[in-house]
Amino acid sequence: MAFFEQNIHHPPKTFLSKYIFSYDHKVIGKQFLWYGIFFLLVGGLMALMIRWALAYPGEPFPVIGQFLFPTSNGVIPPDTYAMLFTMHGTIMIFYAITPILIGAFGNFCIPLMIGARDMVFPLLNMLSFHIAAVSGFILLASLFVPLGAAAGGWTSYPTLSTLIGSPGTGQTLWSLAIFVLGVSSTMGAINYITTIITLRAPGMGYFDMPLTVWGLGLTAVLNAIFLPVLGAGVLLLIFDRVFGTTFFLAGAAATTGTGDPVLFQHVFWIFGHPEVYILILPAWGVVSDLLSFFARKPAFGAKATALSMTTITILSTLVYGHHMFTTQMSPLLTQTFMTLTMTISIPSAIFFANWLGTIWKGSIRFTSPMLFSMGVVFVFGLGGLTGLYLGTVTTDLYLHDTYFVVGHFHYTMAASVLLGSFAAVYFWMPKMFGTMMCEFWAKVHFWITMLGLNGVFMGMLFMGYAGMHRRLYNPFVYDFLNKLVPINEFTTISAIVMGFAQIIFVVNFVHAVFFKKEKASDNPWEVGTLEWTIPSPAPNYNFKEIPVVKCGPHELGNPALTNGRDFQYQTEELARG
Amino acid sequence: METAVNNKINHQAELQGSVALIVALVSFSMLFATLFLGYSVFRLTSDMWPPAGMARIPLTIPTLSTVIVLVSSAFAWILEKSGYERKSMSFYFISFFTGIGFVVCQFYLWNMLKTIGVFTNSGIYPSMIYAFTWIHTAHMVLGLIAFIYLGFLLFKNNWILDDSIKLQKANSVLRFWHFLAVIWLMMYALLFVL
Repeated sequence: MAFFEQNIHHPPKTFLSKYIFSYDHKVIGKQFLWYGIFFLLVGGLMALMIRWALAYPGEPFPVIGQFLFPTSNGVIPPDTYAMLFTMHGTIMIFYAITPILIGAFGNFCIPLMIGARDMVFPLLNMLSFHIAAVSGFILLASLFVPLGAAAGGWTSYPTLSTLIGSPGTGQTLWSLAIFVLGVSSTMGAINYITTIITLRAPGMGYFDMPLTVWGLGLTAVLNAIFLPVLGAGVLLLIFDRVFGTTFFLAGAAATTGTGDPVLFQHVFWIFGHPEVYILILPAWGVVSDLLSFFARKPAFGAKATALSMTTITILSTLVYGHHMFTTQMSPLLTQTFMTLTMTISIPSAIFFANWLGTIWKGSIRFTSPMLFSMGVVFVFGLGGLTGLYLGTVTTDLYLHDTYFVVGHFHYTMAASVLLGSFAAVYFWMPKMFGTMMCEFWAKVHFWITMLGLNGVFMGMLFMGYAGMHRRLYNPFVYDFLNKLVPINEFTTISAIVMGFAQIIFVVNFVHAVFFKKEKASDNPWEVGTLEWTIPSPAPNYNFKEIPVVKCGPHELGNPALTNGRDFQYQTEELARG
Repeated sequence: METAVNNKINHQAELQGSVALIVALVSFSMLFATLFLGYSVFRLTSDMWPPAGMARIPLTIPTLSTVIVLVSSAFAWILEKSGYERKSMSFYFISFFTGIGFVVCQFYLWNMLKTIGVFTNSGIYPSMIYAFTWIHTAHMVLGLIAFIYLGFLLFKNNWILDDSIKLQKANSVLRFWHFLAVIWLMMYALLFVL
């Protein structure tokens, strides 16, 4: 790759130009991080309310219940319950995970790890955050409109989401917020892809990029291709709701001709299945790198890991039908989708084995990022395996729409991605803010989160297998589910424990960002990727001299190392022979 | 030495501009592809077309729009080929004003639909005509804003785009314009003619 000229930004002088209208990819990353953490707390609180309603139906939500639901004496009303699970899903997926992993770490890591001074289009990058902020504002505003927020589930299937199913502006604002967020993410994706292709430091081939950048790059590709599909879907939904078109109305509701509610499901899942990989790919990339860094070993089969992630990216576009086995598709189609879905387990198994190969016989340092990464290996393993039951038509027909599905996607999308995000935050903290977070409390945070999280999601798998459906306000009106009260209580208590454990994280994080005096060293974790060759926190121009890359990102414990350390910076050459 | 550095910068701008434009156009195409997917589902599952005994839409205004958008696109192409010189200023203005003409035509189309009693809620066929043309026209407006930006770029630089960053920007605007013309051709064929 040719060496490209890159200008050095002038350091911003005013508060506005430094923190609000910043062109600097690192500041934009931090903006996304705070945005994501805020929504993570909002979504988490909603999760606790949902869990409370399931474990103790009819009892008032403690402490803030009286304030939030005064008309029902603190008890969560049924319609509010539907809004809660809808908004919980939407907020967690689009407003917490996406900003933290893709917005924050995509922005922060890509230029630093490939040795660039900034993204290719800094203005586009800034706009991408501000548009995301507008979208977040619209979504929050939708909580306060008459008749309440969207209540059709995060998938917003018609007819639940048409005017018949949900009158009021909540659902319209929801669709608008998602469309605006899609614009923002697409802008980000254009930036990421162009940056990765054109601004890699001299000497850095694609396989010399850290796997984090691979994960983020593949995510950007999926974002650029599939977010517009959802964009078109929600636009038509908005037209149906506001201008009276009849795309998703069926039968008598449409005056002439017929619309088709199932069409929205197709459009949604054409986007929606790649979306789950959009969420998980950055976490895979981060974990693949961190396992190698802290096992002090080269990433086992790094090239194979990168290629299997690419294969999964391609396959993920072909399997969306497995979300719709119960929509009376032709059996030929269901079997096709099932086969394609099963094919994904091959590349998944390859990189999973590579993860295990990476830590095998390593001299593992059990730092907080490593603990969280190993947590990802565990929960993703479980999540992936439970996916097989849902990808198979025969078992899916029974398990569809039960809590087994909820448990499965929480293991893959929530648990893995959450732990991966925490690993990334703890790991890049010194480079982002110039201080380290307290290791002791980080480990306490890990263990409580890990136990709580498994309590919650394992409980969901069991109750789903026992036949409990999702989205029921009070499942215990059905006699056959009455035996599930204790496991629901256990799950809720686990969720509360896990929720309170996040206070440890927030205190630790805020303390490290604002109050900690002790500065981190330039390379506290002793790893060799490019971002660790510069001071902590990263200066606004990143690299004074554009680095020249001479070896791969995971040369730990290589016998050809030359400097008496067990790692090598990517700017240093390995000994020959 | 200086020319070598300039060549490098030129190459960089071209590469970055084209990668970004390709990704952006892929995104826009997926948006419209989704609409056309919806169209094909309804079209293929419908017993008759237009459904439920609706009359076809008179072709006059859509055909006029098509001609206008083709003229606009053609002059944009000539503008690019002429290298954005001052003497090709008229091509810029023809292209820009025909673009505005297209948007005006779309308003006439919606008005005409209203007069013949075709409303958004009259079924799936009018729904598609309205929604698709709305979305496309919104993009045409974006394209016109980009065209105004191109005008600023040209007049500010006195109609001499000597470095390839500016050239890349100008070309990107026009490529987006051609892209929208192609999308309109598909809409014209699928919604009105076939």
